[in-house]
Amino acid sequence: MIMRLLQTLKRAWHRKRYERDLADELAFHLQCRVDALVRQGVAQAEALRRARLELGMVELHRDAVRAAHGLLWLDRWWGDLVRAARGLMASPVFVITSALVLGLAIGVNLILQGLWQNYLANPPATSVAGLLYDLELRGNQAQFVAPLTADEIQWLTRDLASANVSVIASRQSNQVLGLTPPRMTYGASVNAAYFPTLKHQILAGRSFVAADFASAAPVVVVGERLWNRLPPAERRLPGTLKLGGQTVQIIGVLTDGFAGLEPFPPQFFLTDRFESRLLQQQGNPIDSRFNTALLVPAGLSAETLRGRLLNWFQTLPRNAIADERVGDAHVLARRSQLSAAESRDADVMLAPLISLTLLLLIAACANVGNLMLARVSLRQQELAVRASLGASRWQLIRLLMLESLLLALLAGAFGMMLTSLALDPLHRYAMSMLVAMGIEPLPMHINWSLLPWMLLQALVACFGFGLLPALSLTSGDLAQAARRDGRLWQGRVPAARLRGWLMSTQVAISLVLLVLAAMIISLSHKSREIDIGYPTETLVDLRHPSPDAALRARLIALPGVRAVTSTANAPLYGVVPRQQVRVGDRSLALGTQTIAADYFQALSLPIVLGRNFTEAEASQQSPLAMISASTAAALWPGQSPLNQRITVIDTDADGLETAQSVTVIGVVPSVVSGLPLAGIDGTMLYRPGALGQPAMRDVLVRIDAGATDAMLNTLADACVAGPNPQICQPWRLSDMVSVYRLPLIVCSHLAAGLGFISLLISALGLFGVMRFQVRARWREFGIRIALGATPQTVLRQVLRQSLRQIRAGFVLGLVACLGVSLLLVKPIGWLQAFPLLAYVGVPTLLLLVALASAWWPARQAVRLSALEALRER
Amino acid sequence: MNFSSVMPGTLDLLVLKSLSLGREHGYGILLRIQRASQDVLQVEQGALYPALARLEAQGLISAEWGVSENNRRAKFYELTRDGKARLKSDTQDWRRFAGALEQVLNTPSLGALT
Repeated sequence: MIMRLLQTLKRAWHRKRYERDLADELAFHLQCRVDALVRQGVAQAEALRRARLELGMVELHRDAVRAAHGLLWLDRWWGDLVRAARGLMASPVFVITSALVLGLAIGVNLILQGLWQNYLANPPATSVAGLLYDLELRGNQAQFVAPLTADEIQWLTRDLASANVSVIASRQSNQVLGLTPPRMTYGASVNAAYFPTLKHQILAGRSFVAADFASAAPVVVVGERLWNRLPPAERRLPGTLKLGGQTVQIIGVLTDGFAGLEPFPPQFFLTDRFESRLLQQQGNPIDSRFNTALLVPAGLSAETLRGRLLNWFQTLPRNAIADERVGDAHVLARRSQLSAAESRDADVMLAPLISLTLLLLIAACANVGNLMLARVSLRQQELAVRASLGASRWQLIRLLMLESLLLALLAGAFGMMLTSLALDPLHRYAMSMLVAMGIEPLPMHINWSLLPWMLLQALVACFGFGLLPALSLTSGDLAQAARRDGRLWQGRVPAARLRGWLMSTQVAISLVLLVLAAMIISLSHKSREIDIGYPTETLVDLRHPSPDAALRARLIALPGVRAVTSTANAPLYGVVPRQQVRVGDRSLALGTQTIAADYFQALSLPIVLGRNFTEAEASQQSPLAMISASTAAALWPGQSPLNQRITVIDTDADGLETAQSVTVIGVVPSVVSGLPLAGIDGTMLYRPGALGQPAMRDVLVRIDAGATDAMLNTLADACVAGPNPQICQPWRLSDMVSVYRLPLIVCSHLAAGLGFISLLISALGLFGVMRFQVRARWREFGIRIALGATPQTVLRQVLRQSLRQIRAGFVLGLVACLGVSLLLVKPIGWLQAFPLLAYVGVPTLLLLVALASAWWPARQAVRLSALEALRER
Repeated sequence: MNFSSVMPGTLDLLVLKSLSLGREHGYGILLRIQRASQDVLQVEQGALYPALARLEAQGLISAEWGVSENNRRAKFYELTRDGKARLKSDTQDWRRFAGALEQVLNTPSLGALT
């Protein structure tokens, strides 16, 4: 079939030669017959006449041969295509409007598709033959279990070596880079199998060898970007680099873009052994756990591997997997650079976005379908003439569908152009929160494998907007249309009703998209109003690896420093750890934080009731507690919480519980301690601790208001000034809030963009439809104005008509919005269900846009003189 | 009934059979069929070329330009491997059909069968 089509196309390509050959062949036949007749004694002229009569009509034979070669079919299609193109060229406004409307929708969809392809469609490159699987561990209750430690990975590597399975392990390892200014930088710590099994390119030097792992040598392989950021004088191999407070040796440079099994390209790679040593020196607990992938030879099934792994877990020492016993091991084929878990997260994030953009595409199709219907109202006579000349209904449908296809392809090309321009800037913007954390996402390039996806969308769109109008327009009595002012489309679905449906669909979808956008925008605005409860502008978290009293003394001596305190975990850095407690016979979970005695003073938080911890109580970790006002109200409503007792349940690694009874000595205001967007903590329990204790790893410094970035550099200098020089990275808590708010801001901007595109599609669509509808009625307007109607009356009537057309869409859309709102309010706790902006602002805006879209063409119509309008055909 | 023109559906088979004797141009195929049938079968000259085009499109015959016996530029057709297979199967089908038709026609009367 394909070969025959190719042959046909080849003949069409060499059409002149083909025709010449065909003529030659028939001429040869004729000549042979003439020669035969002449040999029989017939005169030359008579022989020619008889030969021609015998051969019959040469042109008919040629046509039959062309048909047999498929050329007639091709000619028919080509002719229709040319006619369709001419038909489109006759309506440039329609073409531009439709291509813009569809192209915007296709473009937005392609951008998302491009992001998906860049992250999820490129399989990880391995340099060794085999299939790559992710290892996911589950506990006895099917809950996720933390991945494996470096030791466990070594045992597993030894155990699976006989089956030729390579165990590849890596983990994110963020370290402060000793450049000016010091910056937290995204890197990865890897095991010995990592580089040998994954395809990578060394730009200079070498990657790790077995000896680097055995000796835990302080060596690093850097990415090309980090290499280029080094001062020129330090760009040599082997060179040195300050990383996490240690001097390490640069042994190699990787080409830009190597991400290995990480979601983003790490800027440096460390050996797992050296990283453990580094963490130990920084005073961190060495409980590094690694994401594990398995490179499995062909022939070993995932099920067999899973069985072997489960057996292996049974042989582990009791305390090997520190927190939980492994009940199951999931072996999941790795389909992209992202791990199975990351792929799930990405799918969850992209699926609603892709659904939204598909909605946008449906709205655009409805819009263009409406434009098609409106436009054909101006072409009814042309269609009728074609029908009168013998065109069948199928031929007319084919012609209209070809126009739709050309239009869809044009829109697809526009969408592709939009994608090539916007993909990278949008990706960079969406990932800007990662840059703030020292992660540099890869530049995004348009992938030409998007082309089939674009063609598919164009084809779907073509049927989406072209088929209904084409069927509707050719189902009526076309002969009626040949008569001037005759009514077309008295078929099963009158065009006017179909137009109404399409218009309602696209207005409803636009309304849903716009209301959703407005809800997200109002959510983003609301997040700005969150009162953290303490001055985040003047509070700095040092992120020091091993803070001590000497550091505190150096910091407090600095001009501009008002207070220095410490805590087990700085506020606003993620979810607050929760602990089971018992109060009387009630059992509940409270957010807990261990703090130094001067913590509340440093945060400028007053003691509402009772008293603070003393220094002695804090250093002895006395069995005392302070609680937030909301905890007091929840636990002892209407009573004084002072001297009440709370039993705190601590669980150790083996799951053994120990209970400690603590006495409440004070109450402080309720503030935001965990994720900024989660709002004020409902319940909070503070327990005493002091700097120097193993858990107290975060140092908070309150600085003068209005202190500049120079103050942050001064604090960073203080970290490296003592006898135990350690690089630290000062972070304003307000910056932390900004980082956490960034996704919401990005989402709100993206939603605003989608909403704007949806509004633009609606405006363009309504404008196009109204323009064609008004054009079709110019004669009627002319007659009415000639009979004495004022232009204002006509204008009012057109506007009323346009409002009638979108009324049903408004009702449908608002009902859908109410449903969506109620669905979203439950999972997103502090999302306002019916924000004024969404439910009043958006419909008003859409109404204004609809009126403006109708007003412009109507105004053009009433400015015509009656004479001009009557002359209009 | 006039059987001088070929029966519908049999022209392709006749063309394939005549080409099994060797490569030939359109007019030569016509002559081969006429001679082989001792001038009983008259191929409509206009029907020959669409049949050749159809067979060529199906890949059953191949065509190339050459020089004829009278020193003119002519298009010569040749049987392909698929064409040979088709000729074999179509010939068997035709023989089965013709034999069955012959048997029916040789039956003295339908009454004798009951």
